[in-house]
Amino acid sequence: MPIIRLESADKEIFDTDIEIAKCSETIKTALEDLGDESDNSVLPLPNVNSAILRKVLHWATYHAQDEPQQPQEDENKEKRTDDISSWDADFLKVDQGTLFELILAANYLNIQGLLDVTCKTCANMIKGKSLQDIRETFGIANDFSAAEEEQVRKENEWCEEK
Amino acid sequence: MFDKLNDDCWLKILKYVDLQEQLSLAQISNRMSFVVRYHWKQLTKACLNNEVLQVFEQQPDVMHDFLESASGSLQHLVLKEGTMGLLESWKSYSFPKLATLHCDYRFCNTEQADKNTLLLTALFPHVTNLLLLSSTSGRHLWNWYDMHELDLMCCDSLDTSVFDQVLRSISLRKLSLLLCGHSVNISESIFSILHCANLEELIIDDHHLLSTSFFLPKLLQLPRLRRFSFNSRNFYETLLQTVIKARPGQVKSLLFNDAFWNSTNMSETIQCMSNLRCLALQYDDIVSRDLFTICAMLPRLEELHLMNMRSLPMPTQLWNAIAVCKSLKVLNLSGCQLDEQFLDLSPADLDMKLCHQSESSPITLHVHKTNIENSHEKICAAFNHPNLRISFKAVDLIVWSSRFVEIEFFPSIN
Repeated sequence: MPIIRLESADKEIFDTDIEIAKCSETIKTALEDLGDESDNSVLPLPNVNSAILRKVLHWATYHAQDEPQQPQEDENKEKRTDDISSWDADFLKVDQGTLFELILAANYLNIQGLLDVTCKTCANMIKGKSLQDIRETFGIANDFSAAEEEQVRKENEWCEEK
Repeated sequence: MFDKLNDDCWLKILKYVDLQEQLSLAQISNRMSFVVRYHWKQLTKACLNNEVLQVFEQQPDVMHDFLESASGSLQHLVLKEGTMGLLESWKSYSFPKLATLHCDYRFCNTEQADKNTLLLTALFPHVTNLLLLSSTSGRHLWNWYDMHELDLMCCDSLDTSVFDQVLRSISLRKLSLLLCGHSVNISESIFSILHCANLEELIIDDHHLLSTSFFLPKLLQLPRLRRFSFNSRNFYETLLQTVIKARPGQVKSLLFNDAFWNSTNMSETIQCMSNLRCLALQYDDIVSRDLFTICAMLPRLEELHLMNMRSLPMPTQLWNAIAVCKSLKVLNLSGCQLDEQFLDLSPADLDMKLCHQSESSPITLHVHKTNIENSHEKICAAFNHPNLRISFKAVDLIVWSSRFVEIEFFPSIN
């Protein structure tokens, strides 16, 4: 089994099956660029820490046998968020910080399947929530100026009265 | 925490968030407002449901923010009941790419409905695909001269002469007239369909086709007609016979949704479709004798779809039918309860059943959502034969939810 050595931001080395690592388009492209020189070389991933990389590789190993994703879904198709597999749902029972870091890692490593499922999970945390609920759920800093805030507050009076 | 994610990631998440929550996110912080507006600038599809409508009514500023960003990119708009009142204030925006419009204004009188249509044609002049649930008389629909797909549902107030003018003015490729059943005029109006020289697809309730024996043969002479579907109230046997008389040998595929079971001589009618490539039944029922005859008598049948069937012939009878279908390439049993016995074939039996196929031209057996789907290994072991492939993937074939018959023709030689 050919191995690629992935190095996380905190310098931990992950010896990984090349076929599994290739679910990341970023790594796949890097390997193609390296050609034969990729043997036993270390590929640094400065944007992903070891805890997250471990989770990403766990996900990738489980999904290694999946059929390749359809090129790009029809943009007009409704984007469903209720089609997360039970394995993925369990895998993503993590705190919000970890979920966000997984989204960032999936985006950086360009792993479409993981990006889709993490974004859907995040979208599900927003669905059906009011403005105030969303603020609380995500602990969002309000960066509107006092005047802007007053404007937003006035505009939202109708829904807060409910 | 929220700021951890970069804009790129938020834009990906926003694709999965409904418009009403996007409207909330736009008001949450300066940064989110910027990201959401950027997302709207690429937005191609929007649905104005009651929740969105409520926000727009209470906060016109939010609506105008949305329209300022999205009007240039929107291609597909869904307007639910109640949104018509807001649209007057949309006149200052232009929607250059808006081609698909779904509207529901059923619950107003014809005069108001026609006013609504006029407003919509002014706001969205480039519409090519329209789905309308309305008490429209049909008036003003002719303003959409680029329109090629028209889908009228529950349009009970269509006026015969107005409808005639509409169909003379626009060059439709697809027309759907469903549940327009209360109108006394519709059966007269269907003659106007014959003006549509470029019509490729017609969807209609079958009882409209019965009032005259002249219409259907004339319809079938339309040179581009490729697909003809009807919502069935049990008149399809007569209709199919007319189709065969008019276009012998031109039927490419035939789909039944919850309709075949009620037929008496359907298998005889189907046997006459000597070029039939695909037969599909869903939520239906077929007796083994009919299935066997069809398989044996159709020399070019390549696809047999028996999906979500209420009952299937016994495994031996099913296999016997497969064995006589020489050109079969696809057998789709998705959604069916398969008897364990179906798997119970000796290698010699399997050889015999698949003797007309070859390694280069095998049968693909689809078993998505069957009771045996989860026993992957068992299926693959039972059906380990070079002339047979197994697929666990879904096949989306029939879109109808009520009793429907769909006929697809080969392109006309003329």
